[in-house]
Amino acid sequence: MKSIALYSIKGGVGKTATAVNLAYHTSQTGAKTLLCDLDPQGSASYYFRVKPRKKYKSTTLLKGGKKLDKNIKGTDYEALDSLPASISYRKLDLVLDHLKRPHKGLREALKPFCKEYDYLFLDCPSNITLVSENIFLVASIILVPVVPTTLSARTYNLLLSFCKNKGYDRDKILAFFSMVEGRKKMHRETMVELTGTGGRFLSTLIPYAAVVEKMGVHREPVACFKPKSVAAKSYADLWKEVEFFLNH
Amino acid sequence: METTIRLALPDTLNRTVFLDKITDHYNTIPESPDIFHRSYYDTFDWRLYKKGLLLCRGGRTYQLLSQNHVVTASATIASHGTKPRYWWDFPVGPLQHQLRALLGVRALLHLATLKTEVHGKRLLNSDQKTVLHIRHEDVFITNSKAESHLQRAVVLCPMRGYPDELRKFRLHLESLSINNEAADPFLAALKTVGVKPGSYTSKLNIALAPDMSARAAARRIFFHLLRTLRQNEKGIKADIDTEFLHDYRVAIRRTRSALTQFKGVFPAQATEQFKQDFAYLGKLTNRLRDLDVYLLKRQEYCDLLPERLRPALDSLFQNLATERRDELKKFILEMDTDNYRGTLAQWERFLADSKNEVMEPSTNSSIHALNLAQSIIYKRFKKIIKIGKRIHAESPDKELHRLRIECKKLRYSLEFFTSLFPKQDLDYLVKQLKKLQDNLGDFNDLHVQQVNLSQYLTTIKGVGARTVLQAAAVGGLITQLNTRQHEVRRSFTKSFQLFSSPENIALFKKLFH
Repeated sequence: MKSIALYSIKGGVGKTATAVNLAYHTSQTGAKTLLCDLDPQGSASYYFRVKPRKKYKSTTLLKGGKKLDKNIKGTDYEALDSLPASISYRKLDLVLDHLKRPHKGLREALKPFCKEYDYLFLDCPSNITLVSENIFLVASIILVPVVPTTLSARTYNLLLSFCKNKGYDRDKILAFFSMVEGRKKMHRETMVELTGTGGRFLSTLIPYAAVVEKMGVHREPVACFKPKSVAAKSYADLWKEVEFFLNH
Repeated sequence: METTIRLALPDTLNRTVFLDKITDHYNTIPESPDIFHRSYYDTFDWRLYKKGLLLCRGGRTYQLLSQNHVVTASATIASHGTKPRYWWDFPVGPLQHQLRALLGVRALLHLATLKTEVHGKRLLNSDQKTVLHIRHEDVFITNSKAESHLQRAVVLCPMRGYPDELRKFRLHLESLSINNEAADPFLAALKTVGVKPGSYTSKLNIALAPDMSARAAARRIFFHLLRTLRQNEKGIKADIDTEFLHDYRVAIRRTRSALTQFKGVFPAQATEQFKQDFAYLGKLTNRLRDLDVYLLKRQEYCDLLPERLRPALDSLFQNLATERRDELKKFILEMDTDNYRGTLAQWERFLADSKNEVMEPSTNSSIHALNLAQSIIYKRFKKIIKIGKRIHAESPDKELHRLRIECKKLRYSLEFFTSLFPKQDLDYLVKQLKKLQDNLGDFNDLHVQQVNLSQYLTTIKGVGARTVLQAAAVGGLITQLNTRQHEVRRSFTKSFQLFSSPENIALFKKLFH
């Protein structure tokens, strides 16, 4: 199983939309895919119309095994399952902290699914906490959406220095430009600047598009209701690049 | 993967009524109707079925399914060309890999084709999320000429994480008297066409009672062998794979062996007559089987030679293939002669008339089957030990050949009478014997191959470069086979020691003395 975490310190950069669309894309190729919604807001779960079971909590997640297995829900798409987020995830940090090995809690919990799934997508909450550190251990690739603005660029650099200080493998981090508005001069300039400083940016740009926002209305991946849109195509292209990195 | 549930539909509930009943109670959306065809395959001896597997084809895609219809491997064949028959006809990949181990040299036979008409609905919850797939299926058995209705069923495909919704829906179905599991359509189809899966096996499995008369036991054994022989004739004629002939020949050999070993069970004159008859039947296919074996060895022979010499073997195999075709034709013609058919018919009549009350008694016709079995097996065992002990490094090959024949006889006897002895013990002894037989068999095979190749070498004529290469290739093979034969011979002592261990001798004594 290869795991891909959608992660950013900053919120509202298109993590969930990317996770949902990429997971849908891989499942359509026939690969068994699990999308694990780690964000207590549960937006990815909302897109797939899944709700967690009433008893489901952070502790259930970290128990892993059969208890966790019961909470996986099939989406309306073949080969794509989801693990919906619970509102109790807002205290996931605290629960992790009580474990014997707080950094490895998530990895231990998700281990049993390695055989069943080809791909695991993690839609991560936007912050930098113990949860993030767990994610660094689980993920084969940390995919970071960066909106080409000053603030977003700043948080990207923050992430890189955080990894350096913690001694995490920075090669796992792949960034891509998200919510790009080509007509904005600042977007264009920020992109040039960031790629010039040696950041690892994928070449696919995910445009700022109304169809992506409409996912909330349709509650479906873009490719389901607008398969020929630029956005749908961009996600497919993005996956091609990610896949290359996963295999090399 | 959630397991699907297949329920039988009562005749009173036709499709429209059934689907309406669901729509009335639930929030559903229809799925577009679909028709698909599935063809099912297995070998003559049910190699897939016996492993709980199923090979099915839809269009150009083949899927190997496990018992719960979970796909274990699949492959799509090219649009042109013929349907695959052997494992090597499938494209390289996981399916070919699995079939290779499962099928061996056996061919796939078509068993049935089913047509399924599907009308599906998706059950939604208040979030408009699908929680269950429901399918109404109309299944038909089809062939090129006609189709007949087989089954109507509701298939529920549960969605992971929605067990409560499934439970509630099943309660609703129960209220409509839909609760009984529907038969697996593949098995139902076989039943309809009168095929019993797993019915053929090349292994002997003859139910005998210890106190039945020796003659009654012999009848049962011979009848069983005759049925096996007959069951394989069709496959030989159709030239489906090499194993039909192989099983056919084993049935003949077993019959001959039993005729020799079951002394005094039938009147001597008749026994003598049938021994000759079966010798005739056996001889008919000696060459054909040899040729089959060589053709199957093609890859192995090529692997023995350096790459440079391999192409030179092509003409050898071409000649063998031509000769095989002619031999097969000859045998098929022979099978239709009065002589051939009369011989088997006479044997069948003899067996039918051989009941104790009808046929005159002979010296051993009335002894108990158990006594017959014990005396035959123990005598054979003693003989094997005697011959084997005499064999040393310098003994002539002839001695090993004799031992091999005796071992074969013992093996057949153990298999004829398996049901009279504890299964565990017999399985163990057969396994021990098999190891020794493998050694002796390899030795003999390598010897026969060298003789035949040497014979072929004398037929290569001409002076050109091609002839030289061809001769070199055959010469190279003979050398390789000879080296291997010596290796096998060297390991004989060890094999025999293992077989004649004090524990094995004690077990033979306990069971058969």
